[in-house]
Amino acid sequence: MRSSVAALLASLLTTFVLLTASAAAALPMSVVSDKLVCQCGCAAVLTECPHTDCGWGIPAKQYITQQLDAGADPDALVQYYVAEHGEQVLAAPTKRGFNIAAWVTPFVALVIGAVAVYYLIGGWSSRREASATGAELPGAAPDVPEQLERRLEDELKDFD
Amino acid sequence: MNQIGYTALLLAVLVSLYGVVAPIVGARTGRREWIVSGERSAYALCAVVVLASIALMYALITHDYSVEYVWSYTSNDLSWFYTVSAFWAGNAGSMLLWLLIQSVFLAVVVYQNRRRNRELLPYVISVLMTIALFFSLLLTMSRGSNPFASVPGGVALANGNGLNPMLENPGMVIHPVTLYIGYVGFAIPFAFAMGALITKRLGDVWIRSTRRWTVVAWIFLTVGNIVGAWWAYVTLGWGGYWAWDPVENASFMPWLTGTAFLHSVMIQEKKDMLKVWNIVLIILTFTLTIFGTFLTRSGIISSVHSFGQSSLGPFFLGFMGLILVFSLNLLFSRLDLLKSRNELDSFVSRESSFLLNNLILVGMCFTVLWGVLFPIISEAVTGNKVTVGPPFFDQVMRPIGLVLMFVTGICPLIAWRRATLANLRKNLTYPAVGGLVALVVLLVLGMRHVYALISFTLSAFVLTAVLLEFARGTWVRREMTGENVARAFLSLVWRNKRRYGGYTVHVGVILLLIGVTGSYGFKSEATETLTKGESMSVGTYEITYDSFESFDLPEKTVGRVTFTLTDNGTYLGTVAPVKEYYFAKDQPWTRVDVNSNLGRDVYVSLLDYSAETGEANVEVRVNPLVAWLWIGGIVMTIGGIVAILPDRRETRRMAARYERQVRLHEI
Repeated sequence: MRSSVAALLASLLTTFVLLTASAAAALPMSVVSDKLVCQCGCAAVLTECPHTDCGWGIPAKQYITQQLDAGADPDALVQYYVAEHGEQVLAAPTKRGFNIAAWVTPFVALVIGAVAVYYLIGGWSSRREASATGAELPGAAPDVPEQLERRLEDELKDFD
Repeated sequence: MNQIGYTALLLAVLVSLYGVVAPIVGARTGRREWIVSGERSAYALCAVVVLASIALMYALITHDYSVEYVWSYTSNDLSWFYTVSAFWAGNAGSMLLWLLIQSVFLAVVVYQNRRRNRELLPYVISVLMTIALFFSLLLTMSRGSNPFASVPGGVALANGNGLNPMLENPGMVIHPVTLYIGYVGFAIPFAFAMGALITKRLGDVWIRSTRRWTVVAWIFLTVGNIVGAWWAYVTLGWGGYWAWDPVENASFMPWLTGTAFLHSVMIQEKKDMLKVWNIVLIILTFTLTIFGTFLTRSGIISSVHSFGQSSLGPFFLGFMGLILVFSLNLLFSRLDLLKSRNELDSFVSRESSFLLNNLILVGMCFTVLWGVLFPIISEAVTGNKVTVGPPFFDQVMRPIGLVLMFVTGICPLIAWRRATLANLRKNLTYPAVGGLVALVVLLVLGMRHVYALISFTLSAFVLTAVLLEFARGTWVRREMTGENVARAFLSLVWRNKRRYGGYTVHVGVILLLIGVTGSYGFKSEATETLTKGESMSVGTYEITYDSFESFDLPEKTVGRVTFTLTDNGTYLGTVAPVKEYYFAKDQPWTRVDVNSNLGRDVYVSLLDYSAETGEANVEVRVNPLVAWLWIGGIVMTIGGIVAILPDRRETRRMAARYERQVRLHEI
């Protein structure tokens, strides 16, 4: 038992070291290959092309590695492939022109949704306040006894 | 046997067509014999589809190469295990699998409801039979989708084409089945929702009657997605597990809306609110399951998962359209009856936090759908088909995912009905302290990756919150009963399975996200060509080339290089990645080897080798925390199972509520 706890602690400590140390480690090839789509037809990002004999991906990865080792700028390498194959070689839309819609729309939708939920909750909780005020009017339902209120709370907890 | 199989499929078409009509006729005319006959048609459908499935399995096991499907996906040297899994390796077999699961589920639903939900059942059967009819028609209407079609010329060959080596992995045996159980499982609450709309019984009986089905579908969809990710990790050789491929996205989207549904139905159960929203969510979830099936068969979007040369896309598109038109039309026609007395006691309450949770989950689903469809939209608008791949999803989903993590932590801490400041302070203090401690420790250790810092801080916050919930409950129970800690903990969970099962799922989600954060944010890699005795290193890890062996098997040539793995000079073991070459398919394949512990995976793949010199091109990746992703998946599954274990109190409540709603409806 003690040894397995020690093993767990040791592996977690190693992880901390890994997480803090390797954060600065460069990923030369994937810095570029993560941004490109393999042109062999697999539709995967170049880094992830599953074909071990890929006629396009393997030479491209080798070329990128060589160029980066020789000090080439990663962005320039990406642009080289865009010039060769067009923007469809990029693994994500550019942030220009119509493509901006790709990046902005999810957040716009979320903001609109958040505003709607905000007003919905506001409306529903103020409706409750209004009906609570109405309860004090003549002829309205009497207050719920404290005992029943407590029972309701207990039952709600049970529903979790 | 093949003739029997095909005839069984033709019978399935007829039986399902009858099953669509008979219960409706019975319900509309009040003639009980038609309803009973409709119910029996469910058992009949199950019988003929099981027969068709046995026929296909028999053809596979006996290597009957006169059947094109058997020839396409098996060969004489394929192991028994993968021969069985070839059942769902192709388009036709996977559709038969869908129909098989669907017909078995339908039979179970009919049996389960033989004494309850009698008013809903005819419509539930009819809806589920419509889905079965669609799939049985697809299976019989064209040669390409008929699993019993003969090989051209009708002459059996001596050997088959063989299974794609990618599919020769236990993960690929489990992944499609679990995913399909998840997909089909969501058809049950969908059918009950439609039944409730048609019969105007719009209380929460349809939700309560299908709660277990929903959770079971969710569990299987979760397992399907996680096992799929594991398969990609150990099989594809690129060191990752999720590529935001359109088909991966297609199985992720119903999971997101299904999760939102699981949460929002609780509001309807407690407060009789969100009735319309819940029906919208289940319509969306079920439609998205069909959308996933459509994507793999339409060829509309490039994906590594697509079934080749299938022309079934338009049929799936039409069926999706039919589902949406029918269900939304029905929903709009019942809007008056679905009006709830929507009231919340307070702006800050568990109820409102659930709405926030739904917003985030549906927002994530919309983002994924938007990413999947944007190439088509872009092509329609600008004429250029852009690619929307991992860089897009990583950037857009990361901030939304972090908000979801926060909501996951904070939801259980907010009281139902009304959260007071004192209540919030009491519940939030310790989790906040837990998060802050994690943040400080990570900063002191030198971590500067902003997203990872936020993610780990939130993880600590959520884990502290959930574990405190368990600890408080256990402590109270121990005080009340005098039980020891273990017993108090177990009986606490046993008496509140739904609540603590849910909390366990939350723990699983956080563990999974810890794995994702570690492996995405801090991976490191290197590729080198080595000969015997040479070494290469990644970080503190070093592999040294020990030995090489190459041998031929009947179906392939295998090359294996064995390396010694050390960490800072400490021996960890050996890793032996393999590269294979399949003769029949003229296809090379790599089988990676992974040295794994809770802290990191050292992932070694043999890219190439020279049989003459033994020279090997090797890629080594160090992926921190990946194990937590799989552990998280297991914990989520356990939590889901706990939440659906039989609960006598829940059964009593359900029976009482059902009686009440039946009485109300009769009045």
